[in-house]
Amino acid sequence: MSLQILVDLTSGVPPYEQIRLQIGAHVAAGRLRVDDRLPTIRALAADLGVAAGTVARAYRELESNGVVVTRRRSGTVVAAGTAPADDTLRRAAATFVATARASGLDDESTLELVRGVLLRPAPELRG
Amino acid sequence: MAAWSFLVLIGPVLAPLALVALIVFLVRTGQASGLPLTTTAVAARRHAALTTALAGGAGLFALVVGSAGAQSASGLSAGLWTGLLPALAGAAFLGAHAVGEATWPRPAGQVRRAGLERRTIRDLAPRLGRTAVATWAVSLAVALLTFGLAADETGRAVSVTFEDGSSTAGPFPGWFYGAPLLGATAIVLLATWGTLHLVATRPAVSDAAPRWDAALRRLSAHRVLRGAQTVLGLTLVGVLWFAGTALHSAGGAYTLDGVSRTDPLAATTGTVALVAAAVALLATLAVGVVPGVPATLGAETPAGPPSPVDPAATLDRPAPSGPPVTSAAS
Repeated sequence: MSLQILVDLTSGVPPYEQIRLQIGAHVAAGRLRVDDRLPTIRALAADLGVAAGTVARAYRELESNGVVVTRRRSGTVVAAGTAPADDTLRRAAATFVATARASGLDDESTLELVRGVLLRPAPELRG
Repeated sequence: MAAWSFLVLIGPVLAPLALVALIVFLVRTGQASGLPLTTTAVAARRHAALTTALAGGAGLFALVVGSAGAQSASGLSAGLWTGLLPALAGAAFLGAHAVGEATWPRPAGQVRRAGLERRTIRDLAPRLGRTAVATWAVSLAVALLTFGLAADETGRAVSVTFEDGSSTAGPFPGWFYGAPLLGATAIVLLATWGTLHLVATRPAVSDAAPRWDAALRRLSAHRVLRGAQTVLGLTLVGVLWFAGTALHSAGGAYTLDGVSRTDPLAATTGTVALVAAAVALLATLAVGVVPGVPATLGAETPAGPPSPVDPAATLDRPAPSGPPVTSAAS
């Protein structure tokens, strides 16, 4: 399956942040691997119909986070050292999302649930 | 002459009809087989067909105007203009195609999609078209350089020397014709590369499946390469034909004082050039009529959400709106 990103212009999240988050998610999920080449800034901006500066900002932030690196010859590629999440964790996350959807939760509510759990202190989580 | 006048008279009537027929044919060529298309995808397909039809019209127009110019030209320039006609038509074709690609519809709507694969000309351009263009371009360059060196000092004829005289024949594609043709070939190649680059970087059809968008790009690249290979192939055919005719004429059946003399090497080379011209013509026409592959793969809109109970599928699902799933972790 070809990887896609989606930008919702009506979302409260700025487009550059949506791009950054989704590329980061693809890397975390192991769908983008080390040295995989990303589209050029101009091509991705043209495809999404957004300003080149929007994509450039997303790439810049990904680069500052160490997710991607820009090379002179190959362009922007996934950086070494950005290991995807552990397979067990990915399966657990997938199962969790599937359960949430089966329960009728929409994605935003699912995320709220995760955020709520993450707010709990670590000892409480272990218990 | 009467036939030419008749064509000039009915041309303005037939040209629009031919253009409409071409657009209908091209739209049908790029049509998906029974799969539903989004409005944007239909518009994109129509734009691609219109671009090719108008580019073909521009090439034909340049050919007609160039022919008229070559006919009205006098002396040596007439032959030169005739030799440059295919390249002129090709430049007009590729220029119009480039304008069509540069004016490709921009993504509309509030939700935009884009693939994360990097598109390159190599991925999009069909191998047959690339091979044909490269073959004709290299053959043309080699032929023009060879004939340039073989021509006499005028650069327009070839001379064969015997013990007691010489035989000269022309027109021959020496430097007089060859240098402009080499320049024109370079321009056509650059224009082809530039147009293919525009095909690769044009905006994606945002609400169609990525595979369908890629198929439409490949179809556009096929059409560009088909035009380019036709131009280069026909130029090569002309060069080989005139070279072969001149060599055959200069090297064969030279009679002086009742004694017939021949230069087997020149005559044989001329025959080989004529055969090569015929083969190149057939190959150019054969490649030129190979149809493009219609954009049929995954023509439907991007797949909806997978089954919510399928964890593997969930991994590949983009967030339908707002930040993606991983936003919680970042």
